Amino acid sequence: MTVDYINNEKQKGKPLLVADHLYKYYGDFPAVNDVSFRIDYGEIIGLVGDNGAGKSTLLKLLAGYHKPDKGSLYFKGEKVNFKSPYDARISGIEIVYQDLALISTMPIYRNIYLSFEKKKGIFLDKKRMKQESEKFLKSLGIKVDPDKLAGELSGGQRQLVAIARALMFNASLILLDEPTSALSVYEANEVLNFVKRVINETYKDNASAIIVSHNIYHVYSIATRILVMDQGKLVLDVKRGDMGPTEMEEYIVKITRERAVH
Amino acid sequence: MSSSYIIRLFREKRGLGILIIFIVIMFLFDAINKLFFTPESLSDILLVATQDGIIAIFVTLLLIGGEFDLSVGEVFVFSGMIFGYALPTLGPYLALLLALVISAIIGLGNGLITTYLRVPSFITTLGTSFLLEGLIFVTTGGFEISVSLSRVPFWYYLSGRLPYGFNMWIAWFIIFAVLSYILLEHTRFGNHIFATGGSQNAAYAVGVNTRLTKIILFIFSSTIAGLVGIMSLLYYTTISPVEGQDLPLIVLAIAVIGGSSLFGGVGSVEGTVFSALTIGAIYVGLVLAGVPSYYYYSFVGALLVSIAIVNEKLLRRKVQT
Ligand SMILES: Nc1ncnc2c1ncn2[C@@H]1O[C@H](COP(=O)(O)OP(=O)(O)O)[C@@H](O)[C@H]1O
Ligand SMILES: [Mg+2]
Repeated sequence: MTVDYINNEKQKGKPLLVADHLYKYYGDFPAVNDVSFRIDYGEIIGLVGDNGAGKSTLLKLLAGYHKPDKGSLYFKGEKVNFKSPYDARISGIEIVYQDLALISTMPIYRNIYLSFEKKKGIFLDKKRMKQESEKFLKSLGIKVDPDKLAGELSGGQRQLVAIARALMFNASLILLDEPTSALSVYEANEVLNFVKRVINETYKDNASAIIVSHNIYHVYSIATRILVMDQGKLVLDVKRGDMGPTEMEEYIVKITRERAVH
Repeated sequence: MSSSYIIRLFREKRGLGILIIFIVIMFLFDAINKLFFTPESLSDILLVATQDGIIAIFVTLLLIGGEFDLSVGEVFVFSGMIFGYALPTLGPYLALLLALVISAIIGLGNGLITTYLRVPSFITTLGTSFLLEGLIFVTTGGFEISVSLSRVPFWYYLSGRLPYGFNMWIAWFIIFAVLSYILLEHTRFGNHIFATGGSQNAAYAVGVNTRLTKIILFIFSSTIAGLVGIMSLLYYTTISPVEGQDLPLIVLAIAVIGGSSLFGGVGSVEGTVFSALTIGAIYVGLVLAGVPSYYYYSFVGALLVSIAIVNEKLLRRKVQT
C-alpha cells in the first residue's frame, strides 16, 4: 500500500473541515443554500437526501470543482480558497465524482496518477506508476492489468478504480459521491468497509470521509454521523447512536411531505 | 492470436497500421516503376512529407488535446510575408523573431478565445484564417513575396540543400518528431494532453489545467506553422499568397490517416510521421506512374475516409459496453 502518511500525534476529535454558511447558485437557483457544518478527524459522515437535494454540488464545493458564491471553508484550521480541484487535492482532499468518472481513452494507471504523476527527473516513471497502481488495486481486491484502457472496464470496475485513486494519495478528507451505485451489493459492502478500514487503521483516524447516498440504509452501518440535505439546505445533523435509520427516514419523508403541502 | 488481441495491438500502437500501409505503398510503386527507389524520388517524397509533416505533428498534438487549428495555412503565409517585409529594415534575426512572435500571438489568441470564451476551435481558427487571408491580400495585393538569400545568413540551416536532392527540412522533421514524441509520451505535459482531449471535464476534475494545456498547444501549432512558412520562403525564395489554402486540411488529413481521432484523446506522433511519408510517397509515386496530379487528392481522400472508418468503428469500440 502506498499510504505512508502516519501522523503520530492523535488528531481524532479535532476539527478537520468547517463549512461556514456556504451558498452555490446555478443561475438564480440555490443548489446549496446556507450550509454550515463541521467535520472532525476520524469521522465517517453519511450525507443523504433526495435526488436534486444538492449533495453533489456541496461535495464539488469542498473539492474545489466549484467556488462557493458565498461563505467560507476552513480546512485543517486554515481558511482555504480553492481555485481549482488541483488546489484541493494538494491540500489533501480527494473525491470520487458521481458524474465524472475515469478517462476512457487512457490506461488505468495513467488515470490513477493523473496530475499526481510519478517522475524520474522530467520524465514519467511509467514502470513505477504501473507497479504501484497494480499493488494498490490488488489490496482493494481488484485484479486488472493497469495498462488496460479505462474504457475497457465494466461499470463496477471503473467505480472501484476511481475509489482506489481517492484512497491512494494520503488525503485527509475523502469525498465519495454515491460510490456504490455501480456496484453489486457484495462489492458495495466491501468498498464501504474498506473505506472505513483505511480511515480507522491505515490513517489511524487522521482522516475523514463523506459518503453520499440517496438511501440512508446504505451508509448508516459505517457512518459515525449522518447529515441530511433537502432542497439545498442541511436539515439534519445527528450522531449515529442518537437516531435510528428508520426514524431518520421517516423524518426525511415528513419534510418532503410538508414541502409538498406548502 | 484472437481478433481482440489484434484490435488491441492496433489500438495501442497507433503508428502500426499506417506503417504497414506505407511499406505496402512503397513496394507497390516500386513494382509499377523501377525509378521509385532512387535518391531523387526519395528526396521528392521527403520534400512533400516534411513541409506538411512538421506542421502535422503539432496539429496532431492539438488534435489529441481535443482541438483543431484551421489557421495554420494562413499563418504559414503570413509569417513568411512578415519575414520577407521586415528583412530589409530589421535584418534577418529580428525579422525571424518578429514573424515567430506574431505567429505565437495568433496561436495564443486562438487558444484564449477557444478556452475562455468557449467558441469551438473549428470556428475560432476558421475565423482567424479568413482574417489573415484578408490581411495578406490587402498587404501583398496578391503578388508573391520574395527574399534574397544573401541577406539571410542562417538560410542554410533552415532550408539548405544536402547531397542527392535532400534538404535540411529532413533534419528539422526528425528533430521535431523526436522532441514531440518525448513530450507526448514521456512527460507530465504529454499525459495532460491525452487527458484533456480524452475528457476535458474529467481531467479538470482531478486537477489538470486543461485550459493552459490547450493554449500551449495552440501556440505550438501556430508558431511551427510560422516557422515552416519561413523555411518554405527560404527554400523556394518566394511564397505565394494562396500557398496556405490547402494546408490546414492536408495536415488534418495526415493526422487522421496517422490514427488521431477527431474526438480527441487518441493519436500518436509516430503515426503522423508515417502518415506524412505515405502522403509524400503517394504524391511522388503517382507522378512517376504518369498519373495526372489531381488524382493525388482523390487518393488521399479515399485513404482518409477508409482510415477514419476503421479507427472510429473498429478500434474505438469498447470491449465491454
Ligand atoms: N451544472 C448544473 N447546472 C445547473 N443546475 C444544476 C447543475 N448541477 C446540478 N444542478 C441542479 O442543482 C440541484 C442539485 O443538484 P445535485 O447537487 O446534483 O443534487 P444531488 O447530488 O443531491 O442529487 C438539482 O436541482 C440539479 O438539477
Ligand atoms: Mg448527486
